[in-house]
Formats: sequence, C-alpha cells, structure tokens
Amino acid sequence: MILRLLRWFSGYAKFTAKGKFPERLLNMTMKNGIQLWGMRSDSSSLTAYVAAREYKFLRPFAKRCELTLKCTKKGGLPFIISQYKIRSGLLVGAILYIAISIILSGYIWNININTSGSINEYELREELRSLGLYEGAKISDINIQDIEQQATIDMDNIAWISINITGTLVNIELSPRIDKKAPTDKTPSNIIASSDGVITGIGAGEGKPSVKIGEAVVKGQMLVSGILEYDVGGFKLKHSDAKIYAQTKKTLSVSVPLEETVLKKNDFNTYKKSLSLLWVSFPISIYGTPDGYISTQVKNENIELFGTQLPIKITTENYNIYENIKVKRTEKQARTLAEKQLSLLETFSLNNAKSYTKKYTQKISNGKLILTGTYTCTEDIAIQQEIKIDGSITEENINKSSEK
Amino acid sequence: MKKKKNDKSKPRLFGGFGLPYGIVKSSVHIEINSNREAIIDGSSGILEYNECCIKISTGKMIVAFKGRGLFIRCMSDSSMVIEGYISSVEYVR
Repeated sequence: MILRLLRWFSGYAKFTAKGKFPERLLNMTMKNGIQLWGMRSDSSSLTAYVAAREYKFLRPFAKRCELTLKCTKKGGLPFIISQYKIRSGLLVGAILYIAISIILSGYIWNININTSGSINEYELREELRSLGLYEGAKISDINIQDIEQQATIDMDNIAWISINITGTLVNIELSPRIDKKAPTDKTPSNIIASSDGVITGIGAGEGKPSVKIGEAVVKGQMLVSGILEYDVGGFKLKHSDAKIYAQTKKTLSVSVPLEETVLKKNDFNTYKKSLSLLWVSFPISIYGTPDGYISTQVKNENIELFGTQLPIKITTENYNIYENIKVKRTEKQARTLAEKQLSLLETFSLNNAKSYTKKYTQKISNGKLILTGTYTCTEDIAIQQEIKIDGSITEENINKSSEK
Repeated sequence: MKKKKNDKSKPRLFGGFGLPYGIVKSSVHIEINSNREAIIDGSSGILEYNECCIKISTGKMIVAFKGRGLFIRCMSDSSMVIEGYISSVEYVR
C-alpha cells in the first residue's frame, strides 16, 4: 500500500515493448538499476510499469534490443500537477483556505449562554469580555477556571458558572443565586406613624396599641408600643408588628406648557450595515450615521453554514431621526395631557394606599397649565422604630424602618 | 603430476558441519509460497519470459518456472518475484 502510494507520488508510466526478444530489455534494465513492476508478457510484446523519471532511460535500451517502445499510460501526482499548472489559482486558493482555517480555528467564533432568564445576558457578556472571553479572543490565552471564579465573585446574582470550549464554540451554563428569605426581625421596636392622619383601623399584631380608631395622629407619633409592663412589676421588650390604617391627605401636581419645542420622529429612516469577522468590522452599505437627534436600534445576525455558526455577522443599525418641532396646545389639550401624566404619577406615589378619592384643580401660570390633585387616602401608616437599650431614638431609625 | 582438485571436498566440508551448501558460496536462493509465488535471490538475467514459462539464469544454472498466468511482479539486479500458477520448477544444467 505504502509502495503504491510512493509510486503515485513520484509518478509512473506504463509502456509496451514490441519485438523479438523483450527479455533482453528486462535484463538491461535490471543490470542498470531501473526498477520495473507489473510486468505482463504475451506472444510478441511486453507490458510493464516504470517510474516516470526513468522512462527516458529505457529508449536507448529498447533501441539496442531492437524493440519498439510505446508509452501507453501516464499517472501520478506530477502529471496531475502539470495538468492544472495553468490553474495555479486553485492551488493558491486551496492553500489560503487551509491556512485561514488553521488560523481561525485558534479563535472563539461564538459564545452561547444558557441562562434561566433571571440573569441579564448583556451584563454577563460585558463581564466576560472584561475577563478576556469574547468573540474573537484567542483560545490559547483563555484560562477557564480563573474566568469562572472571577465571574462568580464579580456578579452577585450568579451561584455557579461553567464555561466549556468545544472547538471554536463556547457554551456557558450558569445558575442564578437564590437569596434565602431574611429571617424575621426580632429586634424590640415600637410602631410610629409615617405621616399625619386620622386612625380608621388597627390590625391585630404584636405590641400594645397606644391610639384608638378616630384619633388624629401626627408623623412620628407612637402608635403601638413594644414595651409591655406586667401587673406584678417589671416590663418586657417586644418586637411590635401591626397594621395601622389612617385617613391621610396627599397632594400631587404636574405642569404642562401651552407652547414648547419637542423632538418628533421624522418619517425618514435610514440604516447602516457592516460585516464583522471576529474583531474586524467594515461597512457594506453606502449610508453613514446621520446627523442630528437620532435613536439607534442595533440588530446582529450571525451567518450559519450547515447548522454551524460562523464568526461572521452582519450588524444592521436602524436610525430614527428626530427633529425639533414647536408645539402649541389649547387649554383642553394641555389638560388632557396633564391628566395622563398625573395618572401615571398616582400609580407610583399612591401604590400603598388601600383606597383614595381625588379632586383636581387647575390653574394657568407663566404659559403653563398646572394640574393639582388632592387625594384623601386610606393607607397603612405603621413603620418600625427600634427600641435602643440606651433609650436613644433617632431619625436614622425612622428612615431605616420605613423600608418594610 | 599434479593432483586433480577434488570437486567433492567442499560439499563434504560443509556437509560435515551440517551447514547448507549455499551459506558461504553465493548461489541462488528460491522461496516458493504454495504454487502461487516464487521469490528468487541470486538471479542474473531472464532468458525467456511468457505466461507459460519463465526461465531465469542464475550463473551456473538455469531455473525454469512453468505453469499458467506467470508474470514477474517486480525485479531488481539480483532478485525477482514471480507470481502465477506454478506447475513445475525445472533446474536445467
């Protein structure tokens, strides 16, 4: 097998020698060190194979033996090369292809992240990029264990991360950290009012209430005491916990100018495309980035070949162009807009209120329509205040306790 | 009167030690595998070559391989391999 391969690499020729005594040719070639193989003989001719470079030496021997020599077949790599000599571009292309494949196989083509959704993929990719793992990074420079360890330290919401490099593809598996429920705070505390109001309801809980339904209270007033006194003397400190509902008043206001300059989206949109290969990127569209106020949407599209993602992607940047437009509003239009804005504000500011009634008042001042909403809310005004052993109660405690 | 050389002395010498005759003196060495292949070492030329008979010159002797479909698979200056269906091997002279 190896011999056949070597003969193919060096090239061979099949010849036929016709004449009276072809055996003489065989003896002459034997004596002169020319190797023949695959010899076949019939009545008047001899067929054999010889190495291509030695064929020319057979002619004088054939002449001496009075034989007619004829080459019937040529084969092997040298003849194939000479056949395609004029198509040298094929060879150059083949060599380039092999070289590029070898070079590119040393870099990362793609990173697949399998996340449960609770971890922001963009943040994770940026973090990995800062640690040296990104599309286009050299595989030999990557230390997987170091990256896994550092990523777990830098990103608090990751419990564990596993990075697997298969060829040029990186697969990342990770699991989010699940925070345990904070144990119930058992610090001795009172309950105080978070705002002024009239008590409408007291929910059952720990501690001794010090107000009654219908009583008016002010911000910071103690509503439930955490100090329980025994009839026989002595006292005990408890962690107070109760819901105290009170009727409170709140005011929210918004202002809408009757005349202003706003940014309005233009009907004309443009885009820019670029082709990226690993870390190199070049534009493939004639349009550039437009001037003025623009918003950009970026879309990346990876090119696939037989199910394999290549390190080539097309990035399309869609630009929405905005222009400054002077807007004039009537009072009715301004009022409608103000109501919308106020409604949005109510959603965020009054989310703790159990129920509320509202009343709007409007006024126009300095070219603006000011809409003010007055709200009568029923909400839980109880907040925790820690009882310090040395007896000091500070504003810090009130603010800390307001985060329930 | 010169003594004639005893031609039979050398075979006796080697035979006495139990050594084969051709071990020192160069002579043809033929290995035959079944009736399909013959490897000849010590050949000096081809005298006849066709499908039914291949005659090889080995210096002092001529060896004729007879059969059918005979051909020389490969050869060098002093050895060759004959393949085919060998029906007989004749030592001439």
